Amino acid sequence: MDVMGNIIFGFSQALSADNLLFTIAGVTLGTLVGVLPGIGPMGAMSLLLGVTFGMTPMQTLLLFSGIYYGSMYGGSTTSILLNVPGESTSVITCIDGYKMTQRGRAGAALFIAAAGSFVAGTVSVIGLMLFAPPLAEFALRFGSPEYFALTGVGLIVLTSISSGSKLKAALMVLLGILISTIGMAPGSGDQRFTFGILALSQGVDFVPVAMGIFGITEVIDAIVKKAESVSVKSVRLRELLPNREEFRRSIGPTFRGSILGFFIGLIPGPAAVISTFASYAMEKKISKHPEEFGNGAIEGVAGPESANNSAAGGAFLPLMALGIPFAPPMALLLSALLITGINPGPTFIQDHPDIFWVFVASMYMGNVLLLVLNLPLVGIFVSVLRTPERILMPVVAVLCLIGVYAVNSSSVDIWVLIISGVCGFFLRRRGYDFAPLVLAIVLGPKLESYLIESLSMSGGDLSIFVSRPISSTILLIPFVLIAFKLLALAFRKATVRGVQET
Amino acid sequence: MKRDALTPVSLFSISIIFIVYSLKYKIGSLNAPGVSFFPIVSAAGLAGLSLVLFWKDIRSAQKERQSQVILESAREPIQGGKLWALIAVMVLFALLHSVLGFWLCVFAAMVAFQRIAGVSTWRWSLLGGGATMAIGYLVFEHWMGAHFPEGVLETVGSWLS
Repeated sequence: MDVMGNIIFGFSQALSADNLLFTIAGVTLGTLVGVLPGIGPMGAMSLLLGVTFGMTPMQTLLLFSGIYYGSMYGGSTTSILLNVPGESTSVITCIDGYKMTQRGRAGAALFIAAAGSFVAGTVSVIGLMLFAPPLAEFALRFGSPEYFALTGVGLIVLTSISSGSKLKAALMVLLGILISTIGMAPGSGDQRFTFGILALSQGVDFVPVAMGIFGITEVIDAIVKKAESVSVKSVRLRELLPNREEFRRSIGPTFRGSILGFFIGLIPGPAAVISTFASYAMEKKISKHPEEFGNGAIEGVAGPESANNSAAGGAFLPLMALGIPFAPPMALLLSALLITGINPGPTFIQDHPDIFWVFVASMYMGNVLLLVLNLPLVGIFVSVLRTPERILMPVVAVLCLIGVYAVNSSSVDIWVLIISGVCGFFLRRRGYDFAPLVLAIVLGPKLESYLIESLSMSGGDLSIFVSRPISSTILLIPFVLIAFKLLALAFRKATVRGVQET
Repeated sequence: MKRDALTPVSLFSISIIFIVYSLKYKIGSLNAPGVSFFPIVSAAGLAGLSLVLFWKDIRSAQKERQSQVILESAREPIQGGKLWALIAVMVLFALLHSVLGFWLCVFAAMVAFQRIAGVSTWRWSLLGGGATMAIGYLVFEHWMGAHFPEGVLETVGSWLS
């Protein structure tokens, strides 16, 4: 079947009551967690890992993906109306979005953000639809050395673009890899590092670790900090439609942000956040009125909001085509799919075309639903901010405790949840980023398997990684990145020297 | 100026534990890696980087802006009593859920969490605990078919029947 035939089939299934219900639930939850500062898509997804055991793979995929891309929409609402970013991906939207609100253009900013998100979401789904099948087909040529190179380079790139200290990010990667080695060794099946605890023979499950560091850590953080409460003002949206000038000025940034975001979304790590900064910087650079940025420029809303949505869509590509999650939400999605018995990889689209194409169609529908949710119903979502943390946080904590037990009926998982949550709280206070840790726990066993298989293939000859064209090309990526960084540094120094001399 | 020596030292200790344990298993060689080959390489990397972080922290505590930011965030005021109370409730939950029964512990934990989080009256806390227990039971055990420890409730139930 061709792409059109597949997508028509996808729509026919995605419109069934069951699938539609999970898409609506996903995008609504996503918008809610996007609006609420603190509880992000990671927290919501990790919380829901506990209920996936009762769901089909299709339902899991629709719910989790809906939460992820839905949160990108929701995050902009509070940034624009209240100067409070619901998500880290909407921090940059505060700059010009809130200025527009102060000037009485809140409705226009919200409309442009939602419309831009819709365009970007659609662009990213088209990208996913067009690129995922050929990439998966290409990945069939990959052997263990190529996968080892790809996974290893992914972790290196993630470390280098991680927020904060690179050294700390590298430490988190290695800690995550070590945690992933507990339990059964890949290949031989021998037990290791169980420290005499029988329950550890199956390894440390990713679910309680994720729920701990994204759920319990958040709860502890919210309860023990002397945080100021957010004052929610009622906002009137008299002028929801932008004027002709605002509309004209936002078309270019929307499309540029959509394309930029999609490709940045393929990079390991916090791609959605990076895409917003990249888009903002690009728009400011090419704008005829850069002085307007920071004072309510519509381009400063349209570009970043499109970019983060497109990046969220792009992040699905490595998972669907290669089976490798490059972003923490994708690691959670992978875990959820594994619980339901689905293992994404190069043969995923061939083996489960029904799931893939229904998922693609549901993303189109999800974007339309989000447009409806985020414009006429914006007032309702903003009022969610009035939910007191003293009620919300205990509910989240108890849901984590129930959910983590529900997955494996294991008391050890409760201990893992608590230890991860408490350690996560202290590590966060010391500036450690969790994204590298989470991805390393998921990718660690794969990395080890690929390494051992590669070494067995080559008889211990490490040159196997550089002698094969695909793997050597992948291994070149970090060096190219370093070269770019050095060039940029040299260019900056030369510019500063030139300015000083003149 | 206070330094964060605890984290690199903890990570270094973890790596040493893994290295020591790795020696109990077969390391193998490059052409036939054993079960501890990959962990020992990763643990050595963690040990090395932890030492680098520790050394960097000592050397540039005054200069490094990044450290200052982190230490500032580490000094953000927190309510220590609430932190330890939250940890205590979770630990008690982990210890007692199979003895007292899962849903009874959910009720108690919810009440305690609400009190710690600042719900001012016992009445609302008890109501919240009861509602959470009932909804949790309905959703997870009744509708989704998950099984949770019944603990003493099972014994009481058998006595009554």
